[in-house]
Amino acid sequence: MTRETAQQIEAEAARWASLSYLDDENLDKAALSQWLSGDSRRRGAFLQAQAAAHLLADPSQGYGSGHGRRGLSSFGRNHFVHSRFGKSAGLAWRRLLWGRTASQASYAEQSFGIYPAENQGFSTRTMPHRAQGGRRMMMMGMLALGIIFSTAMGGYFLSMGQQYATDTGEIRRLPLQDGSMAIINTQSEMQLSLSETSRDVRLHKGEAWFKVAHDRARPFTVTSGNIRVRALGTAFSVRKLADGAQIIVNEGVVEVWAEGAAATRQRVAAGSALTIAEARPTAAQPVASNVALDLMWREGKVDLAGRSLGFAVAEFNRYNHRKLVLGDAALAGEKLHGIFNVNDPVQFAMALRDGLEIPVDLAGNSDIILGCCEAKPMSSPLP
Amino acid sequence: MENVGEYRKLAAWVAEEILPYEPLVRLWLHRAGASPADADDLIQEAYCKIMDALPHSNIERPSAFFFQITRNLYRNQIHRNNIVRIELGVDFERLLLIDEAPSPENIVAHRQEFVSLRRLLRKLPKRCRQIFEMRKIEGLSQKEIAIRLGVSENIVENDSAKGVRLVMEGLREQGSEVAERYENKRKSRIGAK
Repeated sequence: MTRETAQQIEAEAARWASLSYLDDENLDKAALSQWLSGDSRRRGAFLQAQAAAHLLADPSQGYGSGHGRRGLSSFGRNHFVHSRFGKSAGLAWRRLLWGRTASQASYAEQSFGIYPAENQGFSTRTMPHRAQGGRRMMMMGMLALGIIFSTAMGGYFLSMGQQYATDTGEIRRLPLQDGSMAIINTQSEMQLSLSETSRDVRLHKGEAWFKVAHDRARPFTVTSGNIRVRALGTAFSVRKLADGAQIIVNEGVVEVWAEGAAATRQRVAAGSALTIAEARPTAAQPVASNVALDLMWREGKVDLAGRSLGFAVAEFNRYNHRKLVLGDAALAGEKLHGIFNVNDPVQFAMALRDGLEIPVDLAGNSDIILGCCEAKPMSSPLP
Repeated sequence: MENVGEYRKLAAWVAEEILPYEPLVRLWLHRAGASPADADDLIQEAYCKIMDALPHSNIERPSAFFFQITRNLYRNQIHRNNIVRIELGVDFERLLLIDEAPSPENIVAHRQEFVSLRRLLRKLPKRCRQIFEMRKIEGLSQKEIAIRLGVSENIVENDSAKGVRLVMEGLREQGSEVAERYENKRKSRIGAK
């Protein structure tokens, strides 16, 4: 069966949306439900189409207030934009403008359309690597826009006590409603609960990194087994181990303790890591660590930087269904260098074969044998 | 969500808070290397996620919410399907990490950019809009609208669906229009060197 195209879905959605807007008494609700229960994109397109219908009915709408009033959200906090705008409907235009003053806005208001900035808004003052080309500059601009969205404006919310799980090889970014950011590594499971008084993450399995938005009133705590890690405006990762947890801090300070243990809380500062055993939490000592390297998984990469082949094999196998197998145990201690994509064990195996002349068996789609006992001929480069 | 009424309430909010940003989200997708077909899929999926999140949400920054959802969907898609793309886009990947980005406030402070849905609506055939206005303002049924306009109900049905489609298409076009302007700016700047 071929996948429905977005445009096909759109046409159907437009039909259903206008029908339900104009003639909801006679709407065949069963048929609509039936249609909506298909591809998840249909539900999205239907919402989009309904919004379009609203716009058609009331063209004064749809200029974006820049904040979620309209009864669907409550304002817990004040944001810098909304006190400035939103006095009268006539000012609706201004609400679309980001990071600009009201007077700049009225200038823009006089002209309709979509206007990229006159000078792209990227000055050499703010962007030091201009020489690397306009494309990248612009990309940075757009990304920066996204970053602004997610930090300054930071509003993303998923419901309370939500479960998240990642598959093998999946690395998932999860912006949180409080403005924090989580990146969940491969084969992980966690549960997130945000409330008025606390922000709690239960790491059931695997690893996750958190960039915590500052909020003294709501401590951010990660639980892994009986280990607790608490942050107040910090970036750190927690990995659940069989008998404890590993904590890596790349910004600020976290407090780590074991629930039920009498010992005091340990502080782990930026640039260090702590591996703590549930049974002997007091024995753990933070050690200096190259955290940028340890956290490269967030970008789907691993920097081996002198680590052993044994380590690399274990690391790749966390991310891939196609496993690496050491055919020759003597190779486990081999020191390796290089940055690799964690999702690409084949690339890694080929690097071993070509760089270290380790025989590699890449045949078929099954496990990749490194250092197989009877050496394959070296002179058979893969296509 | 089975309840059509619920849909409607959300839709009014989406029209106000989400839809106006669609062209910009599309622009971002384009810049990030998403194909037009992928962008269409991602946008629909994003709306679906918005709907799932809305009933139990308290969205303070709808535009950010929309943007983030789409960005995440796109990222997940890349990670699942396309290793090569990650390799090609190393800088891009790195920049996406919030803590490693160059102070974005400075960059964005200079930006001027906004999207006009009004212009889009002005371009629509008159009847497309009239139908919806009659429903909204006068509360007329489809049949009454047909009588008032002196056309068949069928035409009302078709024209209204067409109106909705044109708005959706218009949003898509605005996205690629902005993208094109950026491309041209870039080319002319390179040419000037």
